[in-house]
Amino acid sequence: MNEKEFVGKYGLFSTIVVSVVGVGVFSYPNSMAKEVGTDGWIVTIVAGFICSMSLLIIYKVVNKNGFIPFYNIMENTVGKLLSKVLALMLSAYFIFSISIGMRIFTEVMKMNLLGRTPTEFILLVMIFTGLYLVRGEVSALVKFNEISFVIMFIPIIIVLLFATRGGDISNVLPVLQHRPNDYLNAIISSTYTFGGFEIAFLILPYMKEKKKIKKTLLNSMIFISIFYALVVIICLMFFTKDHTRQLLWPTITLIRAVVIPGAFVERWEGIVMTLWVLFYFTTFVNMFYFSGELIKDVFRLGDIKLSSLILAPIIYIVALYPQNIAEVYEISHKCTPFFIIFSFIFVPLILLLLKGNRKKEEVK
Amino acid sequence: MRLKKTIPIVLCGLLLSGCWDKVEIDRKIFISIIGIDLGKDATNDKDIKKIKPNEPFQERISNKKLSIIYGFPDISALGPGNTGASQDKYLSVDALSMEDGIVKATGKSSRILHLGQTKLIILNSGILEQPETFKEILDYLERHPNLNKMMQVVVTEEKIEKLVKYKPIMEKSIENYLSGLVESSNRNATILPITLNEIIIHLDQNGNAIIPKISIDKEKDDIILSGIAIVKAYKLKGYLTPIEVADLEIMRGKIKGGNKVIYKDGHPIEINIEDINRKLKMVGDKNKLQFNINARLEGQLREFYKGKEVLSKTELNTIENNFSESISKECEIIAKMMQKEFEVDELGLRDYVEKYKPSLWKEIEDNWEEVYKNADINVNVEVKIRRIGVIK
Repeated sequence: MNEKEFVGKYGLFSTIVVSVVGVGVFSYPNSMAKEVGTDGWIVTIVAGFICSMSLLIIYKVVNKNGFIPFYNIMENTVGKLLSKVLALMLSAYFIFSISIGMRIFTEVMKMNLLGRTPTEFILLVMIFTGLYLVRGEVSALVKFNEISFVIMFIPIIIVLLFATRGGDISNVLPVLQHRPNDYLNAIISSTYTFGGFEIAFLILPYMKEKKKIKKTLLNSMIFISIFYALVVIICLMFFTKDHTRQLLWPTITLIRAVVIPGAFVERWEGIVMTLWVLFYFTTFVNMFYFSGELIKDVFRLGDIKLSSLILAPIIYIVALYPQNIAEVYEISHKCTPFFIIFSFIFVPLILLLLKGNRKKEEVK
Repeated sequence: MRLKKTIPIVLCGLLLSGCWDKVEIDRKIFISIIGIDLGKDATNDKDIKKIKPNEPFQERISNKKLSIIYGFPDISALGPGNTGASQDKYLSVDALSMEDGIVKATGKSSRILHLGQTKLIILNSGILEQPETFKEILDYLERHPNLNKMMQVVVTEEKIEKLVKYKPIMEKSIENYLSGLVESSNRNATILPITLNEIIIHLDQNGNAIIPKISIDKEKDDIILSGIAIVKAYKLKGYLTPIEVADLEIMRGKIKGGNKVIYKDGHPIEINIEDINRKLKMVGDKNKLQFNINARLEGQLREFYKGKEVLSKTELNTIENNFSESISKECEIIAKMMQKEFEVDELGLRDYVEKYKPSLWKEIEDNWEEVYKNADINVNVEVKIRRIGVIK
């Protein structure tokens, strides 16, 4: 078993961060501005806190079961049949969210970088690249996450800091002026953007140092919350809440509008736009791997190379299903709440609470 | 084994060489300036309103609502041996809308139009007279993903064709000249640069905006920035002169430089403004609001007159007081004008109430126009002369 434990603290941290931060960050300031105006950043921090709780439950579940793989935990807890159903639903959620994300990503790319490249071609290239990485198993995946974390966040944070130049910090005012109902709705929709931390189920069994996991998990959630809050604040500073409401993808428009004084290149945002490829790609690959792993176990396929190959066409079809960008967001708004409640609350809690019963039966 | 190695290489060559978005750079023209003028049929929209959205051949109706000019640098003139910016060339089309303009311009040119580098938009004031047309244009500018949102926007009363063909003395093209003018705004308070992004944001907030105005000085044949246009509810409301712009800047607390002058015994005394610290305070309730704008200007004495010493506390104090009173009065008049005549709040009062007095804002949000019109605005400017140059 020892050679299987190869993921370090940084590996876990970067895996969770890059899986969570994906295409959601493009439109996130817009949905926050729509629902709570200037209070988006407070909502983000609260939502981050709620998601950390859910993540801690995941940790407890894995810890109680002695760090065995996720599917075995489910089989031990809820039995064979039910675990198959749960695993299928979870993987349906992952496939759904990465497909919708894929479509949004493609639309953004087509809008800003590759105007005439066919949607189908962008999808195929992304899926094949993802497939190649998934075939490299968990070790390759974690290594990839570790590297991309640095490539993604260092430039983006530098760019965002430049963006503060044109902004006015007082646009973040006033604070806490909405009805409690609005906050509740906003917190719920804010948690959607945190989807992806369930990857912890996959990674935790491979951890080297078991003691420091809890702290690393919390750190990663804090990092994500701060990053999201920063994006929301900078968008508000730059565009004010009235204009942020109008923009489909405020974060991208923001990057395009940033002017670096005295820079020797003008209109350099093409470079930054390519960074977004990584933002989506890491989310995609991690979720893809996890759902591949689940499908492999459910149907006893024995190898993730086969199961991921089976999933690839499904992703392609679901991503192409919506007719236009409006339909993409409509479908996503309809289905996401159900999936989120299922995977954030239902699955972790059921695994945590039912555990005792099952063990007693086994003892008998 | 060999086959296994060669097949991927061949496939790479086949699959990776194609590119849908490839445009050679010499096949592009980089539009640097867009001028939008009203076209021939600008006022005649009766025919258009009759058309139902589902009728066939709607493109056939040739309504030349806009007349658009695209200016671009002549890249072929750039090259080894030639330094600096090149002269601009122009493409002018009559079009129904902005997108139609691009289509028509592409039809006229051998190259592909690229809008990503646009530095300047010149609007004819006629556009601002027609809010519906202005909204159409704005929507296009906002929606366009590649358009540079940080470009400058100016308004003019002249024909745009005349403007873009003007040859400035210092630069080879007008957009370089205007962007240079705008950059010098930290030395000249009468210039107020506004980017497209700012205009869009302001219009989204309350439908009001200010846009700098340029005009041609007929006698000297110069292009000058001459004040600002005030837009209310997407419609031109009026103009402010350069001096009024400087006062507006003081009240907004955004002034970066510039001069102020008073006359004393028939001699001009000039100070150079170096810094401003503006504080906005508000008292009152939803029936009557009172805004107090306190601005402190710091400056340097630039010009006095020979034979009189200024290096004394009392002397400086009297000059300071004279300046303070003069500027305060000026500002109050401008504030009244904005309030009563233009009915536009460009001092940031609305912003202030919304941000710092949220509970009051909720009460007055719906009839802000009325509240603003009845509010008292007191301006108190305090001028401090910190330095007097190198002679007594």
